[in-house]
Amino acid sequence: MKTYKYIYQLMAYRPFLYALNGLLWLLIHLLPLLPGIILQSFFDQLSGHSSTVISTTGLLALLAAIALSRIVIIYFGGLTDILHRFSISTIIRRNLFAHLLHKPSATTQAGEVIIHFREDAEQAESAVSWVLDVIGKFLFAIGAFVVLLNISVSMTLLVFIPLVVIVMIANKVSYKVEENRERSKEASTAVANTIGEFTSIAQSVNLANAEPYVIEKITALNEQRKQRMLKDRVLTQALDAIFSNTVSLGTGLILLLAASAIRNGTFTIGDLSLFIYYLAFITEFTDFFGMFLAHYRQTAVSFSRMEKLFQKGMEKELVEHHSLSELPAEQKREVEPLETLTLHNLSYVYPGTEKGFRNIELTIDRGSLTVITGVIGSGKSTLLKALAGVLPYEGEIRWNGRAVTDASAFFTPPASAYTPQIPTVFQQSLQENIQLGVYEEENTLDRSLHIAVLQDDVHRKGTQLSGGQKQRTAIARMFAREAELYLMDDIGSALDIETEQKMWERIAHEFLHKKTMIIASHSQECLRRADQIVVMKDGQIVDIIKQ
Amino acid sequence: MSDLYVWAVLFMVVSLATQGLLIAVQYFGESVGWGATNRLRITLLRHFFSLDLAQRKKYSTGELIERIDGDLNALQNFFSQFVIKLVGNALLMIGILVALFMIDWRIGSGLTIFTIGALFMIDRIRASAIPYANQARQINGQFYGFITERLQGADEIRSNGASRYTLKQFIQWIAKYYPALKRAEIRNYSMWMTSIAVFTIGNIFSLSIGAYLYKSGAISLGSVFLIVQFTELMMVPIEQIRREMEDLQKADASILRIQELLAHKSSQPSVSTKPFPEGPCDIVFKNVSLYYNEQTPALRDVSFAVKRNTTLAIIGQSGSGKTTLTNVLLRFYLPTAGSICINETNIESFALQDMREKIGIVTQDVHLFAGTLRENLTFYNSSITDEDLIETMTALRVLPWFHGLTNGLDTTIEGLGRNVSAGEAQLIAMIRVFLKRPEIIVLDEATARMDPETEHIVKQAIQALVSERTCLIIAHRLETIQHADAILILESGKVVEYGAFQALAADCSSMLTDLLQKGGVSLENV
Repeated sequence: MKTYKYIYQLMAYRPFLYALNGLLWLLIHLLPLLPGIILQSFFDQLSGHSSTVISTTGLLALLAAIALSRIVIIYFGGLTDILHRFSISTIIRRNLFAHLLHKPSATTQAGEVIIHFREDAEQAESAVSWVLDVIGKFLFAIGAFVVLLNISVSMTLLVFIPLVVIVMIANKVSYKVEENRERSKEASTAVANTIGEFTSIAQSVNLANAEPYVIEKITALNEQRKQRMLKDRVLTQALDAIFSNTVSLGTGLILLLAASAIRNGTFTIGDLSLFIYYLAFITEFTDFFGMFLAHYRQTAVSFSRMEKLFQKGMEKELVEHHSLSELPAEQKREVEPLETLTLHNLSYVYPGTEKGFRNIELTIDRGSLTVITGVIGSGKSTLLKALAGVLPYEGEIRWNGRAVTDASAFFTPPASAYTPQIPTVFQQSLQENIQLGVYEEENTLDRSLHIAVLQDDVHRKGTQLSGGQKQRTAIARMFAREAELYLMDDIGSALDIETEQKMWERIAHEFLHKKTMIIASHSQECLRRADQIVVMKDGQIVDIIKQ
Repeated sequence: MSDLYVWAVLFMVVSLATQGLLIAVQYFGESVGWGATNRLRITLLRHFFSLDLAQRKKYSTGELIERIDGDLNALQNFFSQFVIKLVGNALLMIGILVALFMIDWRIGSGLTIFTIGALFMIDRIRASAIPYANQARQINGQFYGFITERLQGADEIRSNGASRYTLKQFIQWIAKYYPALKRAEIRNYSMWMTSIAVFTIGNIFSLSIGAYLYKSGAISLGSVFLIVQFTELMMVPIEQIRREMEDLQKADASILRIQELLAHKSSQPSVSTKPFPEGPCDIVFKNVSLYYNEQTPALRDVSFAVKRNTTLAIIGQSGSGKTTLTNVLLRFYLPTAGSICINETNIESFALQDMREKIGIVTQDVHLFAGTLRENLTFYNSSITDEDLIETMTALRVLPWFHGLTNGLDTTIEGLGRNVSAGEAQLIAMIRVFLKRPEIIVLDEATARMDPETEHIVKQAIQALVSERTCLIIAHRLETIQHADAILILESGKVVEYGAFQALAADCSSMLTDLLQKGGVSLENV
């Protein structure tokens, strides 16, 4: 989608708020036209060039009144702008979050995610908000230009045409600035990511006695950032210099031209003050406009970055209008009870590798326990991930003979529930971690705690979870959900034998031959209860043993 | 008239020279700033790596990036700009005031008072905004922490139908964040509003006093114009000085946070300089206890000995303290009571680096990072050659696995080892450890996530490698302990059974026998 379309969609998100905001900011930008004219009248009156009806004191009072009203408008403009900006970036963040929660993961690295949520959303937010500022400042410039033309056509043109040319040239250079900015940003991200990565695995760094090497690596990244930053900052400063020189240059020109005009009486000292006063504002507009254009180009980069997370044609979801205070009504999902699950010609290979699985044919009956086993890299975990809708696949998965079209949406409760090999435990209570929104009235909590042998741990506070406890938390999380099909990836590997035995007895008692289960495992406990053992090698099924 | 042109040209030359100077100043300022903060960043990292495990656990990854990188960036601005800008703007301000005094003392003194008042007012408003900004930043940080954490677990959330619940939590975060953001932002606006008010007052003051003096004939119209221009010009240094004060404040807060990190002192004894013994090692744990806090002991009065070239297997339920035991041996925690000796020397007196070079450990969770397989194996140590790596892999008999990798040592590993299976990660960890040729080996559930076939091969290899080393094996699975010389069973941090394997296995009342029977492992297999 084109950048302006995104921005248009965002502008249309809160139209009334945006219109109100626009009105207020127009006033904020246009009000400074008046003090210039007041200053002009003030000087003309002092020098006796004109005789306005208002006295000098009256003019000063007017100056105060204008400032006061501008302050009041800024207060309200501030309120609307804060709310509007927040709405814009938050709707993007919300849509991104909802999207990433629903889609199979593939590649979402922590550093990357933060860039989308923080910088890209902010970029879009500013683009929308600055449109108002550009309009406001532009109208100011037009107004000022007209007023100045009325005073002296030749002087206005002589002063402003060179200014516009200089600013336009400077804008051309700003491409170079962006390029440098991008490169220094990359270098910064590299430093932050590497620091994050190695501090999070500090223990391994210690164990490998690798502190000096890791530090050497980060020192090199630091140096790279320093060089790029220097380049970036110096060029920016040089551009700034050009812009501020245009003001000085303009002032110089005005003084030169005004001197003779004042002498022959066609130009008053009031006019001079007005010229100098407006000059600053008009250069500021050209400066701001250049910045806005650069920002717009960067916003395009931001949108294309975020767009990559969406499927082709679905990217408009990024700017879809949703409430930020509530969710749409929940639709109760009905799933046909599972009779047979068929995998037909199923394949997935990790991009750029040969790892994965190919041409899998498998049938799973209602109420059976299927164990997938095989050596490292045989593809059993990958297959389970595809079944859980975590990875995309080619081929078909059929639920009672009908092919599933959207696996990541389909393979969720009440159709299926899943425990990954390495579970994620969130920073909240153990109970909340298990429930994740399944409420107590559903009464599955006790059952799942019992199965996962966690009854004693759930009330314990303040202790860190061991590897085994984490794994059992994930198991309890899965069994707290009613599902037709339970998918488990190697769930006993972090457990001691006694706990594992207990757990399997309980799973068997509660679910065996009642629910369909597929497990990737080599555990004896598990294999001896299996109805069907699937042996995988190099991504293919080499044997199916029914027992 | 020609005089006028000279002045005009001079004016332009001066402004060009000023800009040139500014660029030079920017370059040197930035250069000094980055140099200093880069060095500080490395100091902080070194310090962090030296801290105890418990101290490190206080910080999440996001927080650490913020402290080691974010806070230092705030300092960078400060280092490179503060003095130059503060001095420059103060001089400009004084220059303007002196010029005004030269026109008329009344204007000079009036504007001096105004300037002081303006600086004071603007600074007051700025200071009052800080707590709100901090609060907003804090909530914002937590909000991003939430987002990152949930997205890392997105697969589990979605496949267990908790997306809606998580989205609801997101909306709750919005509701919590917005009021804080609004309070902070409106205070930014109030700063702007204040400066408009202040400068309008200044303008009105200079205009009225100028008009008065002009009418009374004390000054010319040109001087009135000059006064008004100077008052306008005064905005620049006042605004800049305000910004520098803001930077100072930010730098101050950053320094405080950095100091807090530096204030954590490693509890490692400072006089640990003895070289680690060469050759085979005996390990003795004598009445070792470890309390994380007063109520919960992680280890209670643990005593045992591992003779050179023998293997001790430690078993116990998850959470019984097995991993803690290895952490104490590697001095990630110092025991609250008791002592650990290697070849009759307390381990606290060994040089830490030296000790960790000689003790190899494969942990339950393997830590991989974004880079190539080679980098993950060597941790950027360029003195380790590819031949060394191949040699170690040959010894571990994992070459078939290695040859299956299309890109060999250049295989890309994604951050956190996302594209590597848990079993493979354990293989990599195993290679890492044996590269060091350690005297003591600790295997903490080191093969649990491998498939039986690989596990079998690797175990045979390990068997050969540990036969001439002292070895501690932590295991859930009984097969793993079959070759152990001695067994230690832990329960809630206490030793409940300890003895030679054969003796315990022969004793029908021992817990080991009970476990072996439950586990279905008959003694014939042993």
